[in-house]
Amino acid sequence: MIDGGFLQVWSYRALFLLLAGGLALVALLPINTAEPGIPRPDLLLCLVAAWTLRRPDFAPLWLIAVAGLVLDFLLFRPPGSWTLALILAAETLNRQAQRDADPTFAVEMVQVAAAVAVAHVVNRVLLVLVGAPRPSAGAVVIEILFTLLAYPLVAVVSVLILRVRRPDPQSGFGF
Amino acid sequence: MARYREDENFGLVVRRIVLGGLIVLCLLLVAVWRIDNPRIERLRAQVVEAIVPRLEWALVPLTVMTRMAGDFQSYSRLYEQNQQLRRELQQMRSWREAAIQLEQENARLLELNNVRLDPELTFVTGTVLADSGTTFRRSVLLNLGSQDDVRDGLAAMDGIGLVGRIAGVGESTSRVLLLSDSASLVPVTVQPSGQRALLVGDNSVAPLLEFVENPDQVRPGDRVVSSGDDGLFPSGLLVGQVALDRDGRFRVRLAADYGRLEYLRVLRAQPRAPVAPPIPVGEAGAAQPDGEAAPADTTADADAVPEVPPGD
Repeated sequence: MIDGGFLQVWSYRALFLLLAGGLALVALLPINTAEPGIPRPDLLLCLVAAWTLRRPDFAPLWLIAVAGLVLDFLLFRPPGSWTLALILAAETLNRQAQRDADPTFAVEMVQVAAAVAVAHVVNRVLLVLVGAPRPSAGAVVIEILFTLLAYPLVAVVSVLILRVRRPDPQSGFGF
Repeated sequence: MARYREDENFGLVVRRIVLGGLIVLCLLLVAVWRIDNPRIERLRAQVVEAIVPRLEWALVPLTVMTRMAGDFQSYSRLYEQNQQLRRELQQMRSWREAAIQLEQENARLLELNNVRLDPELTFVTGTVLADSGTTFRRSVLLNLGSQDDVRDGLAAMDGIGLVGRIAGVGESTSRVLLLSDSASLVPVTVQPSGQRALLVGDNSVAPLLEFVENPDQVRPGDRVVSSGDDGLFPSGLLVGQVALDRDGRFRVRLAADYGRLEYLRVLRAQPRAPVAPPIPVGEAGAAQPDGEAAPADTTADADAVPEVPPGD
């Protein structure tokens, strides 16, 4: 039993890294070099949120940090800045998950919105503190909106296809 | 039960420690990045070097496939495109005629002036591996690196116009900071009037033209070329055309096709000013004018040549 659980947890951790790598790959594709216009949703943040709320052991903080740091380096962000935002977002979500073990999806959306806001506020404060160049506020707001729009999709894929569900068997689907 | 609780407490403590450690680590990294930027950027170049070439097998087919899908969509507009191409071809024919005449004239004038073009300006062509830009930073990764003699600050062009400069070099990869990035600053000359200005990226497709000496003499449609005043870029590289935006500011419509950055040429200027030895600051400052003297000469010549035809 312990062995089975162990194997499951680690294979999901590997899957998490794989998905993060896939997201990095998509971000790196040299397709749209001209249009800086529309911000893309931060799918890694969605993934972190969906998994942390359901199975925090599948996406532990250190694993999030590893994925975040590699992405920071690859996407030429100040290394560590967005990682910190991801970690703090994950931590807020984890606390909320402990308080309310089985929220409805509407409540979950509110929790995620709060976490996304925390991530962007932390990131911005940090960038202001070190005096690094930062994106315009409007673009950030649009990115937050897109991220929240993308979240239900990521959550559905996580639950139905990847079968990342709350361990509690009473809650049906585990949504 | 007590034991279970203890375990839970233990887990909580571990989690707190991990959280604290990670927060400190991230803050430290950002701080070091701010304080000792070159070191972290070198580290970044190494990370990119270690990862991106290994992803090439996945990046290249994916890119090609998406581009093909885009091309396929454009089949539906085949007729329109055909018409458009015919029109453009007609225009091009007249331009070709003009170009040939200008070339002959230019050759004559060059001979008269006895201009020596810089023979040591060579280039190396690379493929765009990845678009490493986020929404807020515009840059691409190139499969050329220090082993191809690519260094920081070199100019990168597509077939037609300037694309950006090299910022960050690994062994076999390098990053090109695009002209549209908000950190990009390039001194330029607006062509018929010879006005000096600065091309300032602002994350939009068309960078701003700022600090124009005399804005009255600049008109939309004027050609913009690099001036070489920074001592980094050779002078006379085509950048684009002046355009007016809605707020009445000058912008530059870039000549390079930013929608399809596939192959880029990196211009290797001759190593005329060897990278200043990291010794006295005063001496390095004194040595700089020497290094810039050579490009300044060519700038003057390059400016002198185009100024003749309008009078002709």
